[in-house]
Amino acid sequence: MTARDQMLMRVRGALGRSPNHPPPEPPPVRLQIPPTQLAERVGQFSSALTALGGTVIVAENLAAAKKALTSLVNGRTFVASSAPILKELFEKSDERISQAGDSPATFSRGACAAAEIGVSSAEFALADTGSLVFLSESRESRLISLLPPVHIAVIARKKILSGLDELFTLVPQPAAQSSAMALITGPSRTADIEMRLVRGVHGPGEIHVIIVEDVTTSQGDASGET
Amino acid sequence: MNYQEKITGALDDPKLQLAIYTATGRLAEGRRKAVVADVLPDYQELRQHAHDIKKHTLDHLDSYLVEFERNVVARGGQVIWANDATEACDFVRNLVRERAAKLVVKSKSMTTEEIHLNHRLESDGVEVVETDLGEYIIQLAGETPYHIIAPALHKTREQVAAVLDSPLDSTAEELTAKARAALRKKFLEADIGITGANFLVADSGAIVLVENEGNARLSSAAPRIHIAVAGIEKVIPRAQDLAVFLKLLARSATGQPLSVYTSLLAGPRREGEPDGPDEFYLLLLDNGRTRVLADREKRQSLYCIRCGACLNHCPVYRKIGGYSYPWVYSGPIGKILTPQFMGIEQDPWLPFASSLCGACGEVCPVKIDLPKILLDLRAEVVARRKNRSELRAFRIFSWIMRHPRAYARMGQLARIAARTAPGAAKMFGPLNAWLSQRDLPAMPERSFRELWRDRKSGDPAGKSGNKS
Repeated sequence: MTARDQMLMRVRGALGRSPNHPPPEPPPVRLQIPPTQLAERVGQFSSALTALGGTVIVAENLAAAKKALTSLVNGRTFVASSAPILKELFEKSDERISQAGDSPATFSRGACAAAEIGVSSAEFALADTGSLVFLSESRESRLISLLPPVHIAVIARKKILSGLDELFTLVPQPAAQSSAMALITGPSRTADIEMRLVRGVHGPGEIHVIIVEDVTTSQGDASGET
Repeated sequence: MNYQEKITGALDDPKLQLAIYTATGRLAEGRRKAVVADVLPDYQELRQHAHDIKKHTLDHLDSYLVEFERNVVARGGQVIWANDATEACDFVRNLVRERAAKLVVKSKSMTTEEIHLNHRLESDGVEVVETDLGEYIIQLAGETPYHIIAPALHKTREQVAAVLDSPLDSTAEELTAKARAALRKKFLEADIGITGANFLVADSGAIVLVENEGNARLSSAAPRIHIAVAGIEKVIPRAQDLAVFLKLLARSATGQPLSVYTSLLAGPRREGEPDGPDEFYLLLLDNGRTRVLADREKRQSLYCIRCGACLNHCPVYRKIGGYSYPWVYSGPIGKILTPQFMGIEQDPWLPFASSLCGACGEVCPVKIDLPKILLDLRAEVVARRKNRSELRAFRIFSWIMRHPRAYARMGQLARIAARTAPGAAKMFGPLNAWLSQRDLPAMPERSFRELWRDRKSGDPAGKSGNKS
């Protein structure tokens, strides 16, 4: 008998159940979406993330977002994901974001480990907790938001959801879309030494989010394709 | 060292007392602020819902385990079933050997502590590195976790500096930066990453990792192989149920609305994804859990989501600390899990190390009735006792209480004894440890019954009863 059979037999014995006996319906799913306006969500998201030590910049359009990104990057090296909104942003004007050039999107582990900044988009943001939601599809790597000490995310305003309940309503099966969904809520932190809050343990110690109010192209869509 | 020596040691260490008191106090205060009605108005409904989901899942655990396994396999992962610690460790050891792995990075997991995985791997000559900052510190110090969510709670900054080979006046920031640099290399070189799992999601074939530092994300994303180790009780039916559990877990643990990183991982990296592991294994561990499951009343002990809130609110844990408990799980939850996993005869004192104040049950995010289970375990211990002197004493007490004349007579005798030999009670009997720190209250000259009788007979000053 395999360990699997032994364990299942013990579980069934403990519960007094027989195989091929499907369970009744579990308690109903509990998802309650508060009715909030988009403008209200931007404010909520900003104050939640700021309270955690992140910063939020609201940009009117992609050109303004590019300006904001340029000043945040400030000449340092960065890696960027191939999210459509970023491609659009990089192509927006002839200005260069950093000395290193504007096409650092070729992803590699080494590049992520060496870069000073990781630039990504996000699938969604959650207003009530200040979280970013990543679904590791071809466009978003896990390591871009993890290895560099600074993380900058550029997202369209309409991607800000009210919270977890709305996220799981829109994405009931995250695993169907991606092998990894990550919720990132503020900078990496620890309090393991004398309960003192220290930011930037293993993940980025700095997180900046640029919210773009008007994305005039279709790339801002959650399902946007280029 | 036996448990009494460990407890006395903890009580006699003022620095440690201050560290435990401060840390648990701060965590408890964080929780309180995160669950008050203006912040989380439906907190009580969420607790009840979480309880109901856990109850439903564990009551039909076989079906959910099979569903979970089917979906992990559909996502390209593998599920390994392990009856006990040896089987679990053997799987990991074999995989390490087959893949010729030299370096393993680990993120915090109580389940791997339970099976002593590090020790087994190290004895095979494999380098195993704990990557949670607190775990890294205690691994270097050669110790075990002091608290479920704050493993190095008992260490002062100077002690941490010594362990990390840093100047003793280093700041927490400097020490963290030093650990970050050392561990970053390990993440990038590691062959295998091992994590625990906070939840196993049956309908998704996914595991959920909740953390603040980013080390669990790195352990699961950077190395080529990811192994997750989880007890069979961690299953929940649907990804959508996470909306309930995630709202409770971080709030109860540290007072954060959400932990910094919540990862839902289903199988290895897929076609077209830029990174992630090539191989994914999920180790399902029994190691005594089915024994707990068999007890209908105490089955709810397995609902625990390991937030640590019961430790932070326990007046006993807050004095005796994490090392006074005999197994990896400490505090109230340890007091109910350890006897059920290890057999109650091992440490029969455990369920008695409680004031039954009920705080643990009140703060538990999944509403485990910890005080009730402690009482049930006490009853089991007493029923097994060979020495029945306590039972006999209570029988005598019961008889006296039912016979007024005997009661009056015993009271008289006790008053005479207390007057003539006040220290006698300290010299013998089961009460001497208690009385070594305390004095018995002085006995009154006359009993209430005597005063009452005199008042009724119109002699309130009791002149006629003076001679007694």
